[in-house]
Formats: sequence, C-alpha cells, structure tokens
Amino acid sequence: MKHFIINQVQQHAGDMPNASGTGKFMVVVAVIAVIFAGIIGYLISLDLKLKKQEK
Amino acid sequence: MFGIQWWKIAGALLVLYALIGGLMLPVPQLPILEQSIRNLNYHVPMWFGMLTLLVASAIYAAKGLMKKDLVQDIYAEAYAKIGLLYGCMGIITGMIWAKNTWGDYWTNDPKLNSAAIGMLMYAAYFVLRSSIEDEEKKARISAVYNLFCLPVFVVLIFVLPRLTASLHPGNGGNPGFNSYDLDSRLRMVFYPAVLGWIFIGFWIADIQIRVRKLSIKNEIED
Repeated sequence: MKHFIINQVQQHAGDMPNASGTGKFMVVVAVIAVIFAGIIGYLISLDLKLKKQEK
Repeated sequence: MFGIQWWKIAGALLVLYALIGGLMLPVPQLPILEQSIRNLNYHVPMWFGMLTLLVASAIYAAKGLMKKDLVQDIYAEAYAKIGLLYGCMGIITGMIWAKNTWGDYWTNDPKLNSAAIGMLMYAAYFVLRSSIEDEEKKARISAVYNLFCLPVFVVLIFVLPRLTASLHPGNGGNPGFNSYDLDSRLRMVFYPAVLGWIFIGFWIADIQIRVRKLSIKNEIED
C-alpha cells in the first residue's frame, strides 16, 4: 500500500510541467519564443514594405 | 527604432516577456486549475485586447459620423476586424481551458453565451458593411450600428454575468477585479501581457489600415 502511494505521487509529480525548468522544459519555452519572434519579424518586414510603398 | 514606431517594438517585447514569463514564473497552487492558471496570461489578454480595439473602433465610428469623414471609417473597420479576431482567439482558448477545468468545451456559463452573442453582433457588422455598395452610406450606417453594438456588448459581457451565477471569477454577484485570485506573482506577467497584446492588436490593425489607404489611393490614381 505504502509502495503504491509513493508510486502514484511520483507519477503525478512527473507529468506536471514544472516551472523550475526541469525535464527539458526550457526547450518548449525556446520554441515558443522563436515562433513568436518569427511572427514579429514578419510583421516588421510587412510594416517596412508598406512604408516604402507609401512614399 | 529601425523605422518602426516605438509602441510596436514595446508590444513585441512585452508579449515576448509575457509568453516566456507566463510559462516560467511560479504560480499559486490552486485546486482544479493547477498549472492551467498560467492560461490567465494568454487567454484573458485576448479579451482585454478585443475590448480596447472595439472601443477604438466605436470612437472612430463616432468621429466619422461627426466629421462626415470617410477616412475614419477605414480605422473603425480595421479595429473592429482585429477585435473580432482577438475575440475568436479568446473563445477558442477559453474552450480548451474550459474542457480541462469545467469539464466541457461549452458550459452554459452566462459569460460564454454573452460573448458568443456579442461576437455574432460584430460579425453582423461586417455582413452589413458588405451588403452596402455606396461608400458613404456604408460608412454612415455601419458607424451607427457600431455605436449601438459596443454598449450592448459591454452590458452582455460585464453586467449580465454578474447578475447571475457564473463560473468565471469576479462574476456571479461578485464584482471587482480583486476577486480574481490574482496574486502579485501573476500580476507581474498579466499586466504586461495585456498591454503587449493591445499594442500588437493595434499594430496588425495599423497594417490593415495602411493597406486599405494605399489601395484606395491606387484606385483614385487609376
């Protein structure tokens, strides 16, 4: 019984994404940052292209 | 900065900070919500952004009516469009969150139904626009409808849910923003997220406005 409870707790602790950056969590953060940077980069390039057209 | 207005860069940096901070910063341990409380930093700014854009849209609609100026209509349309886009994002992210905390994609929460009705009202704004050929008539009629939509929408999403029971925090006869279990750790990301997404929304609308102006200019020149 004791063994079962410890097992359960360990399992739940494992599948909870922890903010402390364990378990390659930072990889996901980096991927999201890159995707967002890409979208912003595209917005900036659109903005600059428009500026050229407006002149 | 690099020929881009400061608030656009500020918006990008704020949202970047909020995207990363929302994932990394420690959050309060709450039952049911657990780690999904982090959604506060992604889902809620959509609604704040939408509301700001819709208010801007109504202001430009009023301006256009008073000055009888067609240019204002371009602004009103763009802000309403991006506002509606934000609303769609808010609804979809809310549905995912609801499925995992309230148990269903669509609960009969008054705030959900109200938001859906409000967004249909704004969808009707675009249907109305596309059904009128004459530019002047289109601007005038849609501006009047726009000014009618905003107060109804505000009542629908802020007043009515407070009068009945609601699953959303801060609702159900419980007004006031502080009833959100918004502790200082969440605020540190939440407020920058709201501000950042508002700036990004205005940026996208700005591009839409400038494209529209350019295409009108080209039409006149042709």
